[in-house]
Amino acid sequence: MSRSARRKKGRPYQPLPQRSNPWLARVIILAIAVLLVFGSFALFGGTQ
Amino acid sequence: MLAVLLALASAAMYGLSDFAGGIVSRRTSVWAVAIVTQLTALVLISVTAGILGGRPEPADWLWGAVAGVGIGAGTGFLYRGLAAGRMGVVAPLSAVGAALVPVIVGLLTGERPPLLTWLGIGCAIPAIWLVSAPAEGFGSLVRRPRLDEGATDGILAGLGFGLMFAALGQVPDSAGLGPLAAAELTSILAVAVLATALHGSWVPRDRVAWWGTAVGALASGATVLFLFASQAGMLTVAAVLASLYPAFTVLLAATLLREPIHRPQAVGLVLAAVAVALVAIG
Repeated sequence: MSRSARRKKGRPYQPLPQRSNPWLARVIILAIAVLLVFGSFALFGGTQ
Repeated sequence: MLAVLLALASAAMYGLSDFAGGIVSRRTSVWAVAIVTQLTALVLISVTAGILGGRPEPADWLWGAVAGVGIGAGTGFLYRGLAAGRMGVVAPLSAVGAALVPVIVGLLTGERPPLLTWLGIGCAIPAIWLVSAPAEGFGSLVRRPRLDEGATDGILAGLGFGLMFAALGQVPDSAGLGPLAAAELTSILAVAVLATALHGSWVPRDRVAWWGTAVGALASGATVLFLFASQAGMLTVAAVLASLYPAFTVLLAATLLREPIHRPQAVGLVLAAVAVALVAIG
């Protein structure tokens, strides 16, 4: 392939990655939410 | 590239809303402004959701509610830290946390950004820290690094805002904006509960608090743009670029209020520009 043809070709199409392993991320998100709820009760409750 | 542009537009609107919110909050209760802001966002997003339609699944509503917990807790811990005079630690920690949580979640969901994007993220994290640390706070950190003071509030606020980005990143585009309305509704309840716990006056009684409607309009636009950015590209990229919002706040304050840009902030602004360029190229 000539250099000009290679230049015209440009970057190949990169599809968005498949979210193959969502459960672990979702467990972490929910764990952070639970932490924040309990953290709020603990820290804000102590200010009353 | 669309995701990059949407995320940057989101950062600009978040920055503008923070700037406007800061001005309004100097004249009345920050909690009242927060409630008016969230109420406005709820109304605007609900109306837009009705117009645009969508088919949210039960799980999408759940992610919206989880994002609302993040907004409410993030706001509560941020205000708690700021009220205790720990801005120098709380503000940068919360901003960096907002960027890091979705990066970790994005990686765990299988996102693999290219090298240049990684370099951009590597520039963005210190940029967010430098830009969001106030001059006196940064100075005190350099002289007497007492991160323990306010670190808990800063980390928890960062986890809250990061949770918002990460949870919204789980909402597919087929769901429309309904889950975002759920996030705003949940955040109103959370902010009211936390304000009550802190003995803050969250009922908007004076006219100044209602200026928060403009702040809410900007914030809701920013959140919608972030949602679209996370659906158009990687959550990792969208969240890091949207987290550059303090840079826009600093630039607005320097331009409109003639506030000085201190050296660490200037370094942060340059790093932010480099980060955006690297992510855009990557």
